[in-house]
Amino acid sequence: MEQFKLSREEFEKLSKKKQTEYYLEGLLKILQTKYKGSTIKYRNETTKMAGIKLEAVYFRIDEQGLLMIKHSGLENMLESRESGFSSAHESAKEVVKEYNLGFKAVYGKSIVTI
Amino acid sequence: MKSKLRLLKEYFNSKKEVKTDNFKITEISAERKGSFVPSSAICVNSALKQLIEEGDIDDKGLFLDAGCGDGRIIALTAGIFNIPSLGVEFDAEVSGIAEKSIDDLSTILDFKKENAVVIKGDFTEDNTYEKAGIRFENIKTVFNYINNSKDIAKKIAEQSPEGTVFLLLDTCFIPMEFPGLKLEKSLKGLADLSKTTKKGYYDGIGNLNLKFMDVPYSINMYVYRK
Repeated sequence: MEQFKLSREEFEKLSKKKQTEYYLEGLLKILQTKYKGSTIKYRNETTKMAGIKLEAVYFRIDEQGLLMIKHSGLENMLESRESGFSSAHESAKEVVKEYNLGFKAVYGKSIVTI
Repeated sequence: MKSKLRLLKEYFNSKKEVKTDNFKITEISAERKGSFVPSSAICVNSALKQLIEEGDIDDKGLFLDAGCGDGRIIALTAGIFNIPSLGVEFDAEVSGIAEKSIDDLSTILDFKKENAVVIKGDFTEDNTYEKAGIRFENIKTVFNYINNSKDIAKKIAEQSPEGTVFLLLDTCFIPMEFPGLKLEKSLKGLADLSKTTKKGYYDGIGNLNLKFMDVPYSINMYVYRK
């Protein structure tokens, strides 16, 4: 966990946006170094990340070191609420752009390239 | 045949029709010492399994869920791991639900009710434990799900014997620090490594191969020791 230098108290003083950035950046480093080439499906702990309600997060790093993230919450929306997809997709793109972590992300069934 | 974990999960899932307003996060006030947010039984089950296998906790010693809510964790520890367990819940209505849960689940999971005792009270006060004829100092493992964690950690640091374990289920990937307790292990990122169908995945407790991957996520189990 060397990627995370802040103490809990220091972390809790950050804004929610900064907390999310800090989390994602640290997570990316860990996944790239430790789990390259592996696929991990995370348990369905409902959480909120960058304002989007997630039911699960899938991470995968392929042989080129490319990280892909799939939010199953969005996938559900895709399947059950076609009409709601475009706004959800737009939100996802905004999140990805906003946090611009320099990787390719897969949200639902669509690919958003950063 | 259904696993005990599945039976436990199904039991609590079937309780959705109970007025859930009381289960939502509530403001901490003088009347309500904390809030009831159900713990992830799957996460705690995986953590306990690993910690027992690795000799981190004494599965024969008394287990306390400080802030036991509806009793799901002591049902898990007593009913699946056969650990003598105690749950303390401040809220009268919620502790009543916990007692009922233990009553029902002792039959469903086939364990002795005496192995999962629910006490209504404040987990920081000694007289709460005295009601059940127990001394806080005799508790080997204390569990808490971010509910007045600093208070119970302070009590362990001040009163518990050396070696007492404090398990903290926490939504933050950076562990808290508690004076007098040493962080021994961080179980992070419970991942499903099996190739299951989507149905199996959402079902939650299919034939999953769950493992902590040491990746920060929304649910983490931190293991402290005095």
